[in-house]
Amino acid sequence: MSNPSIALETDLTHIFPDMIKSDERQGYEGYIVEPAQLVYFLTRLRDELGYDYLSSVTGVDYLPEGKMEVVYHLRKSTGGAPLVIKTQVARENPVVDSIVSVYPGAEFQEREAWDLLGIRFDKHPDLRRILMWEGFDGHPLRKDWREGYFEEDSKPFKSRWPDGHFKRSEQINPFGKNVDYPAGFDPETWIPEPETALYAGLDKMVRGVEETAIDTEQIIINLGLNIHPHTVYFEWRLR
Amino acid sequence: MAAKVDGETIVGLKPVMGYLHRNHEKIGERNTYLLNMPFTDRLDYFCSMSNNFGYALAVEKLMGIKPPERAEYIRVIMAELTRIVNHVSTIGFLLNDLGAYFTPILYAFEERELILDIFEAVSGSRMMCNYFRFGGVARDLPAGTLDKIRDLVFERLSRKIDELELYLTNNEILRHRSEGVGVLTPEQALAYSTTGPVLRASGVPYDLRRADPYGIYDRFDFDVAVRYHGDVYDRYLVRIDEIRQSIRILQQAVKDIPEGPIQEGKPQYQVRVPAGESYGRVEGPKGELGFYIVSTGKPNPWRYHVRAPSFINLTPLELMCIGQKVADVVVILGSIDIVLGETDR
Repeated sequence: MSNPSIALETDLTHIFPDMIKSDERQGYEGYIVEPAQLVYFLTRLRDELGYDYLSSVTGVDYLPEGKMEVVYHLRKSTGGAPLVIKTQVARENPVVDSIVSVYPGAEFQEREAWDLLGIRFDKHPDLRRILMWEGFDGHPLRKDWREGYFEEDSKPFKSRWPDGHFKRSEQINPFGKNVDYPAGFDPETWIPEPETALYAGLDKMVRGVEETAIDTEQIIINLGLNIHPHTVYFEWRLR
Repeated sequence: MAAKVDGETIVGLKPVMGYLHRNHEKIGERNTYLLNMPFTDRLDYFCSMSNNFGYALAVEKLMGIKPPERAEYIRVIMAELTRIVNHVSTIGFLLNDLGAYFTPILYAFEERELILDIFEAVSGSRMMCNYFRFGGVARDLPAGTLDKIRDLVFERLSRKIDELELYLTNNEILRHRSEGVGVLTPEQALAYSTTGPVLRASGVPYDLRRADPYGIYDRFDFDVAVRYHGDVYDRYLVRIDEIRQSIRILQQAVKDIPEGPIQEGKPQYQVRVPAGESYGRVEGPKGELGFYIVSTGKPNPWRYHVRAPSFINLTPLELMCIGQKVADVVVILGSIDIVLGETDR
């Protein structure tokens, strides 16, 4: 049985004095690391201190401070509480080094942070949008991004409470004007380039496959998935 | 998924997702804390009780409150029942993907229905339970529910799992199709941040209920299910083992559950959450389900992030599939056990 408090008791600032400082904000825990030394620091954490398991990567948009923060939760596979590591960059054009080379499990999570928060991860092997499509304008989890039917920052909305009046979102946001596209994007003439990127990504990722005696040809197929668990059906599209 | 094949062998594969995306996290930031509770049900709609649990833990950590004893026991009972629900359906659906179309799943759903009846009795809803509250649960168990649960865990479930195993575990077709398919080594499983049954089937005995106990899990006597081959068959076996361990926990919990209040303080519509950050996580049926919350002291969270196991467990999908046949991809995906409500959020 591991001791869950170990991670909190050991003061890492003694071990890495010039790289990190502890997070002093009220109610926060963990350490803030300089963005330039992030990869080096995490490599040493993994190799020397046994934090061999990346639990989660996410970003937070601190709009009032003008900062974008990336939060990493690391764990030891032997047990214990997570260690929280943060790194802060300027909110305008935030760039952080990708940690996929240290923890490959960060790949999709970094893509998600790029997609939703617009944090660019340098040296990421395949940084594309993951949840949104390419015709989506902006990064929705940024605090200054507003949805088309935006009323207020937080519920309960004054229009509905306490009097109970409300407008339907279609009234605020009439059909035909309810979608914003990035500058220069026309959905009618759009050729799904990301698919090209996707397939190019596939070409890049080809790993050693044994040569067979049979003369085969490489093709790309798309496999579709029903939204409910497991009921996979095939849609073959040959290229 | 887009897969590149050479003949029938996979040489490259990319999962493509987001078709069910609704920006759960942005809506979660607009909502007040309590409004998010029913919203977490919609993540992984098979295990809403576990989702509630993780979110309640995160907010309770910020608020600095702890639920009373009886509520803790009720939470454990519900979370473990959810695990059984999820695992029996996963096993059923896996067989679906293997071509045993809808017969095993109906056997599995029989047990699931009995448990969903209990969920309906306690929360009013079969799947969208919305049962947990900050500092407790929404309401006490109705009269007779505990007897029903006792009946299930002492009399029925273990026998039914035996029956399921009798039909499946040594089934020749199942073993041929799943042994040695989609192998993930322990090093890879850890490096790629997989959690839950996928990680434990690869020989890493990591279970949050043991590794970093939350709630009252440190009181129960159970084993961490672990298997060592890392293939689809072992992921199936790990789930069977976990159902048995869940039954063990349930047997202890229904025996020890005390009388008493089920809510710390008065139930509140608008909770006061001090500024700070917190990361609440549970060992959900699919893996580590985490909620990262940043509060500024306002009635709604500044940041609400869901660490979704279905999403992150997909990261090594390509690794598992390379060198396998096209037909095996379906089985491998089935063995990871994803729910798209949680993957796409």
